[in-house]
This record gives sequence, C-alpha cells and structure tokens, in this order.
Amino acid sequence: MIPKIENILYATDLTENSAYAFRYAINSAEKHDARIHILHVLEPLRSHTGEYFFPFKVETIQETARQELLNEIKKRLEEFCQRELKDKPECIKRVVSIQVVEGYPEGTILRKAEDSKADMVIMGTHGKGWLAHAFLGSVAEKVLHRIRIPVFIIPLPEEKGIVSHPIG
Amino acid sequence: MIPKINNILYTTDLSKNSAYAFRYAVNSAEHHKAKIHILHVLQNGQSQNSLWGGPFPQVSQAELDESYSERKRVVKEEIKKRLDDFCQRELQNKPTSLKRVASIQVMEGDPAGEILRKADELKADLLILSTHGKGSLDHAFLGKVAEKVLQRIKLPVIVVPIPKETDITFSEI
Repeated sequence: MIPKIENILYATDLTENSAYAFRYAINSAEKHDARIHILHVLEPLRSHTGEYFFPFKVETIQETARQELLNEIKKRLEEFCQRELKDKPECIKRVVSIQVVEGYPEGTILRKAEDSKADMVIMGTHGKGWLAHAFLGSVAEKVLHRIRIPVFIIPLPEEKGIVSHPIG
Repeated sequence: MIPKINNILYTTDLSKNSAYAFRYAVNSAEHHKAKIHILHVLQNGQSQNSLWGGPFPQVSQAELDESYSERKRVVKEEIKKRLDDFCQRELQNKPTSLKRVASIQVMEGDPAGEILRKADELKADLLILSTHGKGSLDHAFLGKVAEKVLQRIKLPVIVVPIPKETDITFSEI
C-alpha cells in the first residue's frame, strides 16, 4: 500500500509563495498526523572580492555577518510559525525543527530530505504571473529532477495579499 | 486558509509509476473527501496522413482517415476499460474510495495542453502526476509532459516519483 507520510520537509525561500505553501504543509501534516521540518537554504557567497584590501579580516567579517543573518532568519521563521498557528496551538508541536543552513539549495534540500527521513517535500514556486515559463522556480525544477519522494508544489494563487503577515 | 480540495485530477500515462501515483490520489481524496477524475491523453499520432497515401496508394485519404479514427476509437475504449478495471482492482477493499472516482476520460491531443485544459474544465484543486523513473540517470527523471505542465499550471501539484520498491506490477494497468 501507499507509504505512510510521517515526516514532511517544508522548504522555504522566504517569499510570499513559500509562506502560502506553509498552509498546505500544515494541512497535510494534520491530515496525515505527520511532523514538519522547516528548511531554508542560504546560498553561499560567491564573491571573494576584498582579499586585497582586507587580507585577514574579510572572512571573519563575513563569517560573523552570515552567522547573524542565519540566526535572524531562524528567528523570523519561528515568529512566522507562531503567527500562522496562533489559532492552532496543537499544530505548533508538529513543527519539530527549523533549520537555516548555508549551501546550494537543491543539493541541501535533497540531503535534508534524507536526513529527516521525509516522506514528502512541500515547496512554493515562483508565481511570476503572466509569464508562463517563469512559473516553476529553478530550485524546484532541479529538486524534481533528482528526488525520489513525492513533491507537493504550490503556486501562489492569483489573488494578492493572501498571506497577511509576510515573513519579515 | 487554504482552499478546499474538492476535485483531484489524476493524470496517467499508463505506466507503472502512474499506477503507483494513483494511490496518492486515493489517499488525498480520502483525506479531503474529494472526487477523483482520471485522465489519460493519447498523444496525437504522427504522419498517418502521408501525402502520397503511404503504403496503400490505392486507398483514398478519406478511407484512411476513417479507418484511422475508427481504430483510435477502439483503442480509447479499450484504455478506458482497462483504467476502469484497474480502479476496481486497486480499490476492491475500499468501496467508498471507489465512489470517489467521478470520471475516467481518455482524450487525444497534446498531453500537457489537454491536462491543463481539463484541470480548468473540471475546476480541479489539485493535480497528481507521476514522473518517469528512468533508473539512475538523474536527468531523465522528470518527464517532458510533467515539466511542461508544471511550467504552466496554476494549481498545487503532487509530483510522485517511482519509489525504490513497490508491489504494483506493470501489467496491472
């Protein structure tokens, strides 16, 4: 029979679409009595400019700033959960982890899906409106090419302002 | 809140993966108390109307067309029947789920286009499709049709890849 859905990996890029997709994650978690793992992947800095002028310090400066940013994002995701689930306190317990990590999104999402033994990944996609080809985000597409578990893809509906408290 | 899911469109290419994805369709339908619409799109045949009458020059184009569309009709009927049998088999222990299967349709045309049109027409709230499990080749994984649909659809979609192991067999559909 169909494998049971016990762990859901909800991957967010911190956009409104992702915030909206969170509701599907909650809904699925409730229906399947599953846990939710929240993941945001921060892309690594590619620029190495500055070595000449800051031969020793630039990396430490970047490192501190990055760490602060990771913490801040995590904090905002926590606040977002609290806000979204303020009428459903029992649902908060379903959110078992919030991870903000640095890395390449598609690879990290695949790896985290394995680590958390996810039975399903839920992601929002870029709803770039009229432009037909812009709909599927490149991260979602890359994930879909490689993943071996079902992926629930949620576009943002056409009405605006559905998520009244955007993340940060 | 999220919109209620009342209508699920399950599209199948009649592959083993599709058969497996059907279980997700049933599962979602049960959880959401939704209807399932089953759709298979028969790809438009290629150049059956070659200019010089193909291998049968003595047969007129009209006759060729007629025999071709007659054959297509038969094939469509047969596919529909098999899909029906497949549902009966898969849901033999779940009569309530069987009732959720509201329609089985076999269409003809460009698969991605037909799927999008049907989703609209049926006011589907969720689309379920499977991908080609072409083994270890990473890039062959997402089918062309799935990709096209995903690029254009405005609905939530559950994309089901083939699992490492399944008890469903190829001949079942």
